[in-house]
Amino acid sequence: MPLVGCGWTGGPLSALDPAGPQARAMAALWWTMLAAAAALFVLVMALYLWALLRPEAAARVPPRRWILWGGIFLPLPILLPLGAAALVLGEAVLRPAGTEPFRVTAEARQWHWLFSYPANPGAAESVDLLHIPAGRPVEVTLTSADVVHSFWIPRLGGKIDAIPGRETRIVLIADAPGSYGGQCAEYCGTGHSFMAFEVLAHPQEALAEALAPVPSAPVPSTAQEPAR
Amino acid sequence: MTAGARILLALTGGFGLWALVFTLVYAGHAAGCETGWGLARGPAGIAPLRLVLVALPAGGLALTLAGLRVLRRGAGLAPRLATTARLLTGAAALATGYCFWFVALLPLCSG
Amino acid sequence: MTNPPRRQTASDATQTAAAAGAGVSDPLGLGSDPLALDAALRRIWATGPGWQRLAAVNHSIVGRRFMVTALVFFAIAGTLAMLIRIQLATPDSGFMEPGLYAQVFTMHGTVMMFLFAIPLFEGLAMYLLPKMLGARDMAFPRMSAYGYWCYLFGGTLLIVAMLAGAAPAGGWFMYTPLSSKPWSPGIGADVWLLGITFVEISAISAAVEITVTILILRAPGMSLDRMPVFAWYMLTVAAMMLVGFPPLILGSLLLEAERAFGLPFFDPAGGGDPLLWQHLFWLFGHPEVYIIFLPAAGALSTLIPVFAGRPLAGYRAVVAALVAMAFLSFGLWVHHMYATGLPHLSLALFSAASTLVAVPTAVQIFAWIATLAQRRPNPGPPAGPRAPAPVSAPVSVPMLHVFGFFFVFVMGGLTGVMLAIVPFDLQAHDTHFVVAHLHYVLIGGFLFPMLAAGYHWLPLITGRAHDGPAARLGFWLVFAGFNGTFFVMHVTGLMGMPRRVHAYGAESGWHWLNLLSSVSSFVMAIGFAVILIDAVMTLRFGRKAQADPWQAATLEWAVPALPPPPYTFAALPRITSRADRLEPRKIAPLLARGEGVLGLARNGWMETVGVTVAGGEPEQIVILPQQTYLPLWTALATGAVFLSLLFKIYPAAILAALVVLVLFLRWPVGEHAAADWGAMPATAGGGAMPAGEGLSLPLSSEAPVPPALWALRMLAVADGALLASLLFGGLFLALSAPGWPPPLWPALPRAPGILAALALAGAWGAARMAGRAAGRAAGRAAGRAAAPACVAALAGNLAALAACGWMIAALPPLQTHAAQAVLAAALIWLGLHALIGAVLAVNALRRLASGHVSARRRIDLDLMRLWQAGLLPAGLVVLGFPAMLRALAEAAAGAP
Ligand code: HEM
Ligand SMILES: [Cu+2]
Ligand SMILES: [Cu+2]
Repeated sequence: MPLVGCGWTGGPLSALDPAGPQARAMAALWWTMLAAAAALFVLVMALYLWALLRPEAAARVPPRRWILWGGIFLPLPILLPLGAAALVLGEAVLRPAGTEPFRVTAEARQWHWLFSYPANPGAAESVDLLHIPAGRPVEVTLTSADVVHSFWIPRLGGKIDAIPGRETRIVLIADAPGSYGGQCAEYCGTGHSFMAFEVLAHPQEALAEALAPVPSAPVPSTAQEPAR
Repeated sequence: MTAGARILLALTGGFGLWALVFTLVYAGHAAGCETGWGLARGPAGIAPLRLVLVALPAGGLALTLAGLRVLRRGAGLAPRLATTARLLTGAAALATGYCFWFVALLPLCSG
Repeated sequence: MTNPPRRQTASDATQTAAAAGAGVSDPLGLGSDPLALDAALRRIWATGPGWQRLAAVNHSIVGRRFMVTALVFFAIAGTLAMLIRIQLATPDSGFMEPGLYAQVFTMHGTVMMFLFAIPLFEGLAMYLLPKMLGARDMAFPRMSAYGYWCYLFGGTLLIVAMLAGAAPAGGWFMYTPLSSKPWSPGIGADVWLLGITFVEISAISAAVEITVTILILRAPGMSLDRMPVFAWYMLTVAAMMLVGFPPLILGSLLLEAERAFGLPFFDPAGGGDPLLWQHLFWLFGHPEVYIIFLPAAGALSTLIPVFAGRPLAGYRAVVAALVAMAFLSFGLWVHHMYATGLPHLSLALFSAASTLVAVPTAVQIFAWIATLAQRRPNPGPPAGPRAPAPVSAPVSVPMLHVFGFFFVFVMGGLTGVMLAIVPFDLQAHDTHFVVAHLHYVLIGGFLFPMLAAGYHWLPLITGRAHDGPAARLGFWLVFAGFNGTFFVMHVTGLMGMPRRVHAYGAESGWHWLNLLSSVSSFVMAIGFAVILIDAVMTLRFGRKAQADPWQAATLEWAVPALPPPPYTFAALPRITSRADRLEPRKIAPLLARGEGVLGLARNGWMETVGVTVAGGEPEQIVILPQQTYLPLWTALATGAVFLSLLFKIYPAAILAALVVLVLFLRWPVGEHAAADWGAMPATAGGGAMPAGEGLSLPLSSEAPVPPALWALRMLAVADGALLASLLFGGLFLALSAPGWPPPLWPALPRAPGILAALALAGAWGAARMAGRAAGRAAGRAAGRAAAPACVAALAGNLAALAACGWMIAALPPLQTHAAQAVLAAALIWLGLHALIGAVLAVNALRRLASGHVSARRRIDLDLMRLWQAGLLPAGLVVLGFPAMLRALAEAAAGAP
């Protein structure tokens, strides 16, 4: 859907301003459902007001027909394709096919994200800053050191919880190099509001350089300095 | 069976079966994935876990439809309750189809 | 002129029994003077003035108390909501610091859900059901009062904690480990867990009471299929509560055990799992939303037909829809957990059920529309001396709120379907989109219908007529303010605003929308203030309501006066057609004259009729208990248990629990049950009791299935749900928690297991024998005949209790792994139930000795028998549980 995400619904964390195929699919799903819901809402309210204000006319529809059409024949043909589409889309979003993903691990703890790159020996860990390649699936494996957190980069795709004692996984793709906002979505204590992180998507060639340890910098707690 | 028990069965039997199937499918699937049971391809290339997950709703549906046949003959209920029971059992049959058709299609476990 | 609270002794009652024939000059009450009948009934039923009000058990009074208290809690939680909106009005707000903000949103959600919504509909149901069903009171008035006190004390505990700055702060669903000891070291989380459990006592007791009342306390002739549809709604809701609340109660107890004693149910380091809490909470939490919606829908199904002047369209389809909804609502809970990394197939199951629930909802919506469409052309005033209704407005005030319901709830339902779709929910989950959705559903699906119900039943409850433009103004302010507040949250949520954030940066782009939302929320608050002031003015200055002001078609309007007298009906009607097509204005005068069943006052008894479940044939005369302070004392003692637990003074908790037990043992209905009325010659007032209209019925103490037995059956459902949740929890951990199988399997000795099984089987056999022996014995010999079997049952239960203790003692330290913690929990469950079995046996012995048991009066023995019959299979399952757990854990460990 080409119109998606322009204008005032944008913003660093806006799911309506998608920057990757999954987020785009989810946004398209939203706009489609919104259109259908708006039509349904208008229809139901119109029928209700008709029955309320013009009962003489509305009474010509027998009760049985009201209930059968409104209760069964109206919702079911909408729900069935919606459900089927949701399954297909869910598969695509949760399990995107394609190239071997770039693997990252993220450990959430009150109230920071620690990213490491075990598949890239020599890469430095980063705090509240995630380096990823653009245009290639990224698989993030999440753990938590304390309470439940939730990993969310709205412009790239959905959430996944970080649960103590478990490993969870999410695959995301960023279309283009750039900076994307990330945020903890599950309430995790008083620092929850500011448990944000930044995602830097690099062109494939520049990734190695970004991952190399910056000699002078101690592990930062804010995500500012690798401005590129 | 007392009249009350008969009414209870007629009204809740269909969806009771649905709930049973739901629990068994959910728990069976989770148990299968966690224990690794039935994931390997079995006869005709179908994983045994998949067969179980399909058989449960199929069985539930068959029983629900059988119940509907009994109810069609009235089952000794007051007429208004009998209609309600038929509606509910029919709805339960529909719900069984609606809620479980995809267990035949989706990948079994994640990863 | 009123009966002070008193308890009669058994010998008292025997004397009254003998004198009863002389006590009533005109036993059928027919042809008696309505004023005299009214006075006689009032003397029996009225609650005394002053302090004696604390002894009130009458459903009208207790129901009103529930509603008023719930509204107070609504005002508190609404104030908290305003604080939230002030905080979020501007970026980087410093109005509240994050810790305080967390307390505020947690308390807002908790109070709204547990202390406002549920008690409000409980109160409404309690107030209305007996009147709609044609009974004089609920089945267990003292339970109502006890439930009310538990609710009041538990709610007060939460509010006091908040004022003391020690409120819970983990959000209304209290996710672990955030709510576990290391991350919530203060007392706040304990306040939530214990306070809410305390309040839930009232939910369970209300559920038991509502089911039993609907099942057997109906007017003669009101078969199930003739019941007003509101009764179907409440029956369904109460059944859902019996199954839905136990998982929460269990989860709270386990989490409190983890916090207080270190039992690692939810701690992954000890074989627990934070996801177990989420499953238990949402297993309750989702049905809860429907538990809140359905009573409101029941009110709509009652008052829309009144407005239309037609019976509800599609009564059968509506009943089918609501039963379907009840089942489906238990298959949705994982839609709160889509982001926890479960396999897609599991998510899809819950997604399907979540979308499907739209169908029964739509059926009800269109049944209401169809009812409106069949509206009688001009539902104007009937013939008769009546002020002409103001016909200028097209709809009445209740119908205005029904409009609010349609508009808001339909929108909330549509966003609900969206959220059920997994890929969309992964974006919207935990954002303000969800906050918007949940308020559209709760305010649309509960608050507006309840306001409509309030206006509809205001004349009944207060005796005042309501009219006035202020109510309309209030509605429009609330309606506009509501939409302004919450509609924009859909947008902020999709623009990335997570819920429960106390501050946000200006660069987020959420600034103006939040300001709009906050300003609108004040419009809404002003609207509520207008509604409140208008209601208070109506109470103070409103003109008196006339009988049946809406020309309704259900029995609650057939009471003799508005507001109804404490005895509700002077006589109970005989129902011969659908009970939602009656003409209260014709029935009311007949009933007031005592023309009907039980149109009499005798022996100081509070009598009402019990009927057969299906057909509504009169079956027994239920004698309800007098007003008494017992519920208050028992609730105070129960509160002492919870407070001692809260402050970790465990000996005091045990002591208080014993006091509760002793108080409960004083509850059984005494007076009339001390004699065999049925066996006495009619001249002495005996025989089956005359009930008017040519009916003769046994007293419930001599009926085959008295209400108490029904109550135990319902309680058994809730208890079974509790045990099932516990077993599910254990198996869930064994299957999927980290750290299983435990390094050291808890080995249980064989001997106590076998002993427990045999002891439970023996107790069951003994309980059966006790009943048989009493049945064969004549007169007072029953006591002697049944006593040995009761002693045997007592011994069996004590042996089982000892065996449980032995097994628990044999477990490795419970803190080391969830395996033994779960086994201990199951064994504690079993031990406690054996203990209760023992108490029931003691109670039976006591009642045998005091002459309350005979061949005809066997309720105490029957309770015991039912208890043991359920405990035996449950006990065997618990005893087999260790083996199940181990088999599952080892299978999971062997997985590739
Ligand atoms: C009277 C007007 C109301 C206003 C202005 C209001 C406002 C809010 C706001 C802004 C939040 C989000 C807090 C946050 O995420 O930071 C919230 C949460 C909530 N509200 Fe309301 N609310 C109102 C009425 C209600 C009612 C009537 C109910 C239920 C019957 C309710 C139940 C809840 C619940 C359960 C939460 C979630 C709390 C949590 O996240 O732990 N609210 N409310
Ligand atoms: Cu976090
Ligand atoms: Cu967080």
